[in-house]
Amino acid sequence: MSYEWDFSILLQYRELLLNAALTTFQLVALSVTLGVLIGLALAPLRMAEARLLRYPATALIEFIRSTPPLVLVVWSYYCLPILGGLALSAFWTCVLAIALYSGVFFAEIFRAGVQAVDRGLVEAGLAVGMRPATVLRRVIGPVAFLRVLPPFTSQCVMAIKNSVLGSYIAVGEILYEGQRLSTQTFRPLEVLTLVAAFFVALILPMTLAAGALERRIFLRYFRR
Amino acid sequence: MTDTPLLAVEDLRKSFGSLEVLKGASFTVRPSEVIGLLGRSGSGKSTLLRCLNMLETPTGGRVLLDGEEIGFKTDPSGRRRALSGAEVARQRARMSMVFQQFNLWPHRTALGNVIEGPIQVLGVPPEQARTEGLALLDRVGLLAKADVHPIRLSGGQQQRVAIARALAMRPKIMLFDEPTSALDPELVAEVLQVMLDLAKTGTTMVVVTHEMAFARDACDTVMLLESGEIIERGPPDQVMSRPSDERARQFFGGRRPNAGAAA
Repeated sequence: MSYEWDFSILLQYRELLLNAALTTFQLVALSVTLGVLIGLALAPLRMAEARLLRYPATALIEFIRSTPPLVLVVWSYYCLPILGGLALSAFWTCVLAIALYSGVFFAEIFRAGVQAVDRGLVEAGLAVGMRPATVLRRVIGPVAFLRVLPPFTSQCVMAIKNSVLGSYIAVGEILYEGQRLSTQTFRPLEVLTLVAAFFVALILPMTLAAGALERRIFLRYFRR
Repeated sequence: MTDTPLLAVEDLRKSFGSLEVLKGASFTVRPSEVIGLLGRSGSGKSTLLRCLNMLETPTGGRVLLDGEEIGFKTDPSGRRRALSGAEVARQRARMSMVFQQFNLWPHRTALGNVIEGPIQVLGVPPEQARTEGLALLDRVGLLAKADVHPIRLSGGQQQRVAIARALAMRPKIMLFDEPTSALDPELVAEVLQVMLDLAKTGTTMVVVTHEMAFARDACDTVMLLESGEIIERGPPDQVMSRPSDERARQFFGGRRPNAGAAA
């Protein structure tokens, strides 16, 4: 292969690349935070006894879940301003779309976690005289948390990966800036390899740590 | 033992849909009395026990603890209404329960399970709760396991922690729902021994059990349930050896208490 690698290009444009990485971090942090809030709000509605609450929440969750996230990003970008007169920046549109997409998955993860808590543990809390809210805080919450940590981590990883969808609507995150730089400098191999390596470096330690944590939790609290 | 009832159960009924599983049970429990609820599976004895602390809401009748109605309130106009979750919680704190499946909280250590109620519900200072919790674990023979999580304990050990957890609430009365039914046979004795000690030291208890020897040795009164009705009641000797009801004779015919099994 006659291609001559020249990684100095990355050093030369490090400021631009660092800024792009920072944008990615902001995008992920905001959309995951907002997504968790959406999940926390939707999960109880999804579990509600009243159909008036449960049906709309279920519909929203199933609807969003069956939409490709890229469609959601693009749709939000073009349709939200027309529908609601909501003129958000590309960045915030992307945050909102990915938060909503992650949020419905978080909702399902939280619901599964709460429903997996043994009814007997709840009754034990009630039997010592805990109020329902105390049972939620001291029993259901912590036990469900331990159960949902692994799927929660996977969903966070998905949110990181989905952040590159912002490039489609010109959010200056790492893929968008990487692509621009590679065409301007004619150095796609170096720049795009860096982009890929960036995600591997970000996600791989996370999944490894999550796997180790999952084993520890399982051994410590649940194995029988 | 005095004769004033600590717990009074009046015509307690429970239906699940059209299925009536409890058809009007009435009895009283005096302070320090130990009552055994016997009966085959599905006779309604667990439902009866769970109606006492409102884990099941009765569809009729009343439960009175120290004269206060559990789960409901009758206002001056005579209208009866269900109490709120917080009000029922306050009442439940005075009557502890031990479950068939132990139901220890997996994320707390043995000691953590014992002190959770006192700290969260009774507002006992953590240091004091710890000291008392350790004393209770010592009482059930598990002081060495204070910092161990439930999954590292055998079934018998878990149930003893659950008994310590129930005791930590300083309850007026303790409810046991088939406490040894989920245990391997060789672990039954250690739990029954703890319960026997409680019975002998004046703890008021209502025990749903299949352990005939325990019922004979520890209970002041046993009641036999059949199809949601109490068909036989009295001192264990009388009920077990000279039951008046034909169904009771059939029940005890196959289950002679084998001597000394609970000791």
